[in-house]
Formats: sequence, structure tokens, C-alpha cells
Amino acid sequence: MVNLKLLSITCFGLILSLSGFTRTPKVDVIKIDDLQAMIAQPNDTTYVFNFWATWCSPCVKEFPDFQSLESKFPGAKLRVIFVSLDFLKDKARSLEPFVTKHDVRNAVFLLDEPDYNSWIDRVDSTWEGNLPASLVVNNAKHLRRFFPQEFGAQALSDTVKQFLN
Amino acid sequence: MKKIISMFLVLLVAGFVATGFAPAPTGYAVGDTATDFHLKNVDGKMVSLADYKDAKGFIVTFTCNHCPFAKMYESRIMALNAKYAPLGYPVIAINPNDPSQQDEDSYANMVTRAKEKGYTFPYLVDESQNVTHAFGATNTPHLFVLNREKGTLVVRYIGAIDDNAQDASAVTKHYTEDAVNALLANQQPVVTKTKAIGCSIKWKS
Repeated sequence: MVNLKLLSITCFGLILSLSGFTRTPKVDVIKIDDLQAMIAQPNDTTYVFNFWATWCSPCVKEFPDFQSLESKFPGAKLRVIFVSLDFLKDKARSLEPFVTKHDVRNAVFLLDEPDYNSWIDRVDSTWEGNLPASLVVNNAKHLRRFFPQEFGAQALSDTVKQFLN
Repeated sequence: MKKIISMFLVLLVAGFVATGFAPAPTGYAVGDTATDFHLKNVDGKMVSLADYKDAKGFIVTFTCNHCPFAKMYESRIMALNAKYAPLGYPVIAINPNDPSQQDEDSYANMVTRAKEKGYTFPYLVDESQNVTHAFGATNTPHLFVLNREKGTLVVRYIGAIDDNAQDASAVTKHYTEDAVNALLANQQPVVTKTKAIGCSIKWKS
């Protein structure tokens, strides 16, 4: 009897989660060490880290280009990761609603490091702090390029293509 | 030799065109001499640094209306002027943005903002963006502390106001204040360059 009840609860939970009813945006808060570990993953996947924020209009404008990037290269070992520089206090107010509204399936992290000068050079020494910015890496191929500016959709695809070939 | 250089230049330009990216920003480095400018203030009058005969230097601040970082720093910029203008280092604010890309940064909106908030410093418009290019500002807010030395204005600090845009009460490093305080004590600032995080300047296309 008890087992039955447990089973029915489990089934109910499963149906709920499958139906997407309980789907809430998952935005993990990370620190610079976590980010560096992600950047340094020693495999043959090409990672595109897009640094952005919901308050940055050029970032929001080019967001869909990054969102749809993986689907342009079906089968390729490519992952697009969004690193938001939104403030922690705006996570529930701005960031998570954005992720829900735009149905973002990529990983989205909030980098909670308010003292930019303490970490920005660890991403790239040429970064002056302007957003958007993007970092493309493939550690197996020893490739790493930093783009401290907006991409056009075409330039983004072309750049990623170079990493995949 | 000339041929090689011009070939190199052609390649360089071709490279930029091909990738679609602008060349790395240039501008003043710490130790450079700043050139005076002549820009329109929110009261309609033209302002030059030469107008400030008694100033020991300036806190030239590229800022704007729309940027969330500029908004977060607005009261701190006002506090800088309140503290340092009487000591000889007034704030000179310059809006570098192309208003066609950001209506909130239009001249009319600058006038409104300065009035509403009661700015006690000039808030100038760099319509041609030539001054912004000369300084090499990249973001708003972006500060340049100038010091008068033997009749010229020398750049002594470039960067951020402090180390915490989000929370003024959590600031531990007051970069700009430390730089001006050092100059007031006839010393060189210890930290001369930081990265100014903020909104990228909206350049005319």
C-alpha cells in the first residue's frame, strides 16, 4: 500500500516534469574559478562563452545568434554557454524571466564577481570590460580567441567553423 | 621599403574588413598630455578646460544617461565633484554616445537629467566623438584624472571609479579618489590604470 502510494507520487512527478509544467529556468551562480575550470576543459569540444547582461541592449540583440548557433552545426562538438554579468540581486527579477521568455536551452550562468578588476584579465588581458564579449576555445586543438565586441551572425558562424574544422 | 609598408597597410585594412571588427581602440596612456577641447554644455554654453584657470587638474568622466552602470555611479560622480572641485579637481562629464542609437542619450535628455539631478559640474556633448576618440574612452563610465604639470595637463589615472558598481557601501578600493588624493599630496598615484566596466560607447556607424 505504502509502495503503491510512493509509486503514484513518483509517476505524478514524472508526468509533471515531462509535461514541462515544473520547468523553471536553471541559472547557476558561479565564481571566476568555476568559470576558469569550464574554459579549461581538456576535450575536443568547442566552447563559445558569451559574456552578456540583460541590461546590455547590444547583447540582447545578438543573443538569438548565439542561441541558434549549435543547431547550425548539427553533430558538431559545439557548446554555447551564456555567462551573465547581471547582478545577483537581479537574478530572479531580470535574468530568470529573460531565460524563460526566450526559452533558452543553453547553459546560463551568473558570474557573481562584482570586483571586475580582480578577475577580468583571467578571461583575457585585452578585455576592457565592455559587453558583449565572447571567448571561443577548443583546448584539444589549443585554440583560444577572444572577441571583445559584438558579432554579426555570419561572423559568428564563420569563426566557429574555423574551430570545428 | 615604402612599398612593403603600404602592402602591409593594405593587408591590415583588408583584415579588418574581412573580419568586420574595428581596430583596437587607441587613446591616451598614463603619462600622456591631454589636449584641451571645446564642447557644448547642457546650458548651451561652450566649455574648455582652459576656462578653469585655477584648476590643479580634472576628473574627466565619460558617462551618459541610459547606461545602468552610469546610473549606478551617478551619485558617486556627483560626490566626486562635491569633494574635489573645491580642492582644485572638478569633474567634467562628457556624454560620448551617438543619440541615434540611444535616444535616452540625446542632448535634450541630457539637459533634463542634469536639471533633475542638480549636476554641479558641466555635462558636455561630444557630438563628433572626436574628444572621446582622442581620450580612448571605451565604456561609460570611464574616468581620466588629469593633473596640471608645468602648464600642461598630464593623464595620471585612467579607469573605474571604484571596485563595486552594484553596491557603494561594499567598495573596498576607491581608485579615483586614491589617485586624486595622491596628486593632492604631490605624489604619483599607486594604481594608475584599472578597467572601467560598463556599457560600450555607442559609436556612429
